[in-house]
Parts: sequence; structure tokens; C-alpha cells
Amino acid sequence: MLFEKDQITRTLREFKRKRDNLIHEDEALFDQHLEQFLSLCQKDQILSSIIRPIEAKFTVDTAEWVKKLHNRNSSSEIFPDNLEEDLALRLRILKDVNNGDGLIVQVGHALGKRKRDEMINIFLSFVVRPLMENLGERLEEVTNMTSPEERDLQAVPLSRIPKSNETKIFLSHKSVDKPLVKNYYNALKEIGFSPWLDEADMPAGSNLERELLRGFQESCAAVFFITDNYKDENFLATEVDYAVREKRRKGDKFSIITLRYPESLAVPDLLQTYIYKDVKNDLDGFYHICRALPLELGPVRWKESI
Amino acid sequence: MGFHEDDHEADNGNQHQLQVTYSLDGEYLRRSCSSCGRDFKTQADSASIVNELAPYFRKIGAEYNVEIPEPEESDFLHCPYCSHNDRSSEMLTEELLEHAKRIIMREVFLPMMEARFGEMIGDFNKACSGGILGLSMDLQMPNKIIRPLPGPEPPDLSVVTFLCCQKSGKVTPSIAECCMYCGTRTIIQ
Repeated sequence: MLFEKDQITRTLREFKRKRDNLIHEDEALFDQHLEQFLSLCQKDQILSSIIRPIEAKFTVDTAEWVKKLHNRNSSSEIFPDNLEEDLALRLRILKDVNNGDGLIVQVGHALGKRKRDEMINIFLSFVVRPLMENLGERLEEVTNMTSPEERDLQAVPLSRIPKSNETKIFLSHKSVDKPLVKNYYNALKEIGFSPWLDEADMPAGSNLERELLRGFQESCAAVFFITDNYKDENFLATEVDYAVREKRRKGDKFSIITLRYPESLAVPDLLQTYIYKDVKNDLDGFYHICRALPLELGPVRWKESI
Repeated sequence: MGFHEDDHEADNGNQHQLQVTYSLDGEYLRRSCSSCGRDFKTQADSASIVNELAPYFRKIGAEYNVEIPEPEESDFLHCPYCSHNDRSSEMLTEELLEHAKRIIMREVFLPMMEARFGEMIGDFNKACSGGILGLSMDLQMPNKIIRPLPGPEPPDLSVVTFLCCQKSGKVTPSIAECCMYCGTRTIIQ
């Protein structure tokens, strides 16, 4: 049976409150607290879902139990070994006490007490406390079973949360290498990053220089694809300059990632101060990009659709 | 945790050891902010909890003329909701304090009082017996406190890992705004 979290919390709080009132408050208030506790057991959905099946399973006789108490040799003979039967018997005893059957006096006399407050005190120790322990454990079992496993949450320091306009990944390449770079663009986009590609991210008619600058300012990384077509001149040279500038400005929050393909020309001088990787294939290149990025993606969850 | 019955008896090594049993939620201990009163849970170990309870026991002990050694100062915690900063010993729940009080009263202070007053009354009765008008006193102690029960713990809080400290705790995620260990402002994801 499933219960709402709020309901579980309310039941546990009420159970603890009424339990502690019954066990620890003044003996003069015993009758009142007993009635309140039994009322909770009857009316609360979670408690009654535990108690009713157990009560239905066992027939208990408190008169017989009192006789055993008077004739006892050791305490282990007084209550059943079976914990469910034990619970049923103790609950029945509590209900009979609440009904005013004089059971408190009988138990008190059997245990050598003469004054009412001493009888109540010994009754609480002997009958009530073990019942509460047993019932509390069952409550915990039920509430643990009905609380589904939650996804682990993370508290991320604000300093580690980037703004939405500083997480792009600039892909610098010679136009002729666009088919190669497009594969990287699609893969990065698919896993949740925001790659920046001139073809996709610059509207027609826009000023190229300004758009390039904006692309870098909104990026956390620049990836340079050094192939046999790449030359450090014109727009590509500007991109290298912008990348170095952003690295100086943003520090650890900006990565310069240089991938050198086989048979490529030299890595631009300005980029040689940053570690570059010789890549064997696209997968190798993709691995080096993901490893070098200053961003990490979020927790794993199932897709809505494929 | 140890303490001394009387100053003059401490030198004779009259020291008591008290064991306090309390159920944790796994490795987490429930706390209550000393400012806003809202609950959260920190990772806890028994040694640190005992140290945090010691100031409370010292206050009770002072009423019964029992000396409890000065504890080390406990660490600071931050409420993850209102960022209030206070010693961890000030962020214990009423429930834990009440539980600990019942145990120490039951196991230590009341038996101690019974022994002390019993001795006094014994001496008085011996001194006043005989003669034309004999006097005697009898000691009636309150009923023994029932051994308190801890728990069960409601599952009202969620586990969160604080990346700043690499420690975990339990909070109400919708209203938590900072790390309970270092106070860094955070966002829960």
C-alpha cells in the first residue's frame, strides 16, 4: 500500500508525540493519554493498516494472560515469542485497561505494587514500552517501503553555475573542412552542449567580424581543427587572437582545445603555448574535446522519446 | 562521556560513564536551526554528538551539584534555509535533548539523589532514634523514569550532496539555499 510522504510524516510525528506523552507524562494523566494513543491507532490510516491484520490473525485472552502473570516463573513465559502475537496481546491489554477493567490493578498487584502511580509506572515499563518499540519498528518498515528511492540531488555552489550566454563552444575551422566539423557539431549538440558554428549561428547579412567576436564572448571554449587545409591567416588568424584574449580574460572558465589531424600543417604559433592533441580519428578528437571542456553535463535521466 | 559526582570525590576517581543510545537516519542526525527552527540533517558520528550534548548535560548537572568536564567547542553549522550560523551544539533538536535528559536523569541523577538523600536520612534516623521522643524520616523518590524510545524518523527530507564540501546532508530541497557545512550559496539540481 502506498502512502503520500506528507501523510507518513504526519503519522510518525503524531505517533511519537502520543507515545512520549503516554510513557513520560505524569501518571495522573495516564488515562487521558492512553485514550488518545488508542484513538490514533484506530483512526490513522497507516497505523491501522499495520494493526488490523495482526489483530485479525490472533485471538488473545487477557484474563488468561493475567493468570500467567500471577503464576510466572520467568518473564519469557508471559508474552508470546511471536512478535506479531505479542503486539496483538499488548494492544488488547491496553484496550482493556482503557475500558476500565481494573487490569492495571491486577497487573500492579502481580508485580508487587500497591500504589496506583507505581502500578501505572510498572505497567508502562512492562507492557507499554515494548509495544511501542515493536510498533515503531513496523512503522519504520512500512514508511521506508512506501518511500520510493529518490534521485540524488546536488547542491551546486553559485560560482559553478554558468550564465546561459557563456557556455557556447566555438568551432574554428577552414570552410573546406566543414563536413568534418559538422559531425562534431551534431555530436556535441546531441549530448547537450551548445556548439557554435558560423553556418548555423550567424544570420544572413550579419557583420562577420562582430558575429565572430560575439561568438567568442559567449563561449567557454574554442576548438581549433588543424588539418592539412588550415592556415593561420585572415579570419582564422582573428579567431586565434580572440581565443587567446578570451583565455586571458576568463582563465579556467575558457579552454583552448587544438586538435591536430594527421598530415596537417603546423599548429599556429599562438596556439602552441596551449597543449594540443594529435588525433587519430573523429572519436579520438571528440574524447579530447569533452575532456578539456570546462563544463560538465547534468545527472543521468531517461529521455522523453527517442 | 564521563563526569564527576562531587568535586572532592573526583580525586578518588568517582567517575561515571553514561551511554546514550539514539537512532540516526542512516548516518544523518536531525537538527533544528536555532534561528528559523526548520529541520535539516547533517552527517554525524557518535563522538561529535556526545561533545555537542555535553554543554546541555553541564547545565542539568549544575542543578544536582555534579561536575561535567568542559567539552571542546563544537564546530559551526549553517542553516541551509536562512544561512544562520551557530555552533552545532546549538542546533540540536528538542527531541534529542529531551531524550538525552530523560536518560541522564534516569541513569545518573535520580539514583545519585536517592543514594545521597538515603545516606542523609539514614544518618538522621540513627541520630534521632531512642530517647523519649524518637523521630524518623523516610525517603520517597519519584517513580523511575521509563527508558525513552527514539524514532521513528519521518522521511520528510531529501539527500543532497554539497559539491563545495563534498559532504552530504538532508534538506527540504525546494527551500534550501546554502551549504550547511561551509555556508556557500548553492542551487539544488
